[in-house]
Amino acid sequence: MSTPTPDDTRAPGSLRRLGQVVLVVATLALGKAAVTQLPGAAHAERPFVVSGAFGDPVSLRTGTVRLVRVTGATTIDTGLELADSPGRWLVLTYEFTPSSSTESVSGVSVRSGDRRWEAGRSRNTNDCRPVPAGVTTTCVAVLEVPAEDLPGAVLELTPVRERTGLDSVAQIELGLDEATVQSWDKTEVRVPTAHLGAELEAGR
Amino acid sequence: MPSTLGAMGAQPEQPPTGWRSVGSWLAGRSLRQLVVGAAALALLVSAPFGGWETAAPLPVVTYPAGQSQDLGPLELRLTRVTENPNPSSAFGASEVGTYVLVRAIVRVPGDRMVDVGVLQDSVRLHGVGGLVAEPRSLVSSRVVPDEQAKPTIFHTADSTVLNGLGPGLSYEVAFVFEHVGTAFPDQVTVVSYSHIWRESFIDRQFGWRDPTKHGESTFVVQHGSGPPGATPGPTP
Repeated sequence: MSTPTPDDTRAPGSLRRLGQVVLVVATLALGKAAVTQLPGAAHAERPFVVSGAFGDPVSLRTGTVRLVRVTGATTIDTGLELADSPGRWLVLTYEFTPSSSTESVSGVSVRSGDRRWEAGRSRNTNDCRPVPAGVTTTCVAVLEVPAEDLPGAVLELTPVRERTGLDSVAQIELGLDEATVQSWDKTEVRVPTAHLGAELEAGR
Repeated sequence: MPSTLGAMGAQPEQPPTGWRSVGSWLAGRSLRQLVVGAAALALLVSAPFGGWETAAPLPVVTYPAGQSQDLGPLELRLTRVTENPNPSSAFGASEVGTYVLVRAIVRVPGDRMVDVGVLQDSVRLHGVGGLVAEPRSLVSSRVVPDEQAKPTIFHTADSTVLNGLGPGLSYEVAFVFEHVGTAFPDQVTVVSYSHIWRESFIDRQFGWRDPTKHGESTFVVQHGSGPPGATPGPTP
């Protein structure tokens, strides 16, 4: 029977340490691979899109919206100033009825292909005041969009302005064609006032 | 009888080996030695990649008036520079001196809206002196170095303030600076800055960041003295 020499005892120890290092690296690599297989935030937190058409009630998490009027022009009269657009001013009137608590609609944007124009940025506005549950309010959003992007454009309404992930989005076809957009060239429109209650003169 | 306790109970202390010896050696160093050592090691490791030398700045392009500049979030065409203490009845006469209007055409070529901060950081005047931090400020009209003087951006067709730009729209604008005193140079250099689209290290949000000097254009300043008419209208 032979007695282990000091060299014999060191070798298994070194191998054990090497094995530990390999195990740690392999675990890290496995973890990294697992993370890459998980759905990204853009997919995992995608919003709940509810589609609708002009005049249809569309349900959001916080209530019901209904697009009741779409007009446009190259110049708007806000009551305070006249503003010209190199594209078209899109003036959108929509109703909102909260379902369970005092709410408003904060997120308004228009999408065309990959392009997006948001109310509350630049000269684009959204006038929608919070109302109690069950009470209908009429809101007005004004956005400037290039004329060529308006045919086929879609309106998106969300309860909150930023971060629509995991929230509901009402996606409403504006139903605009080239002829309508052309007819708005060199025209002026007065921006209507947001008010309590439903819109009396719905229509395009 | 002599006690054997010392020989049996207290093992002679073995000198540390391997990583322990390194740890033991580091533990014996002072904080100053550790900091200097870490810095020297970082310098040694980074030396093959240029060490801590500052990266060479990108060359600044000279643009003639009217030529399109690709600044990342914006396409910019500088057209002319005017100076006027009261250029438009829409925003009133300067209370500290005069306004400098850098006239341009801007367009957003991408898919997303561009906010006012990016617009403001895209254009600067250089070599002027006496510019205030921001024109028409209700808080302060303190003079700052030229690089820190931010403009307000007006849409010249209707003299409304632009707080951002939407994709695909092309605006004629005036980047308006305010200057203390009415004696203004006859020639100025307008410097444009590009931005890059990247994620923030802090909140992980993407945005246009890192304004970097991109181009410069020299203009003869057109001096004016008053608004074109009594009623609000296009910026001169």
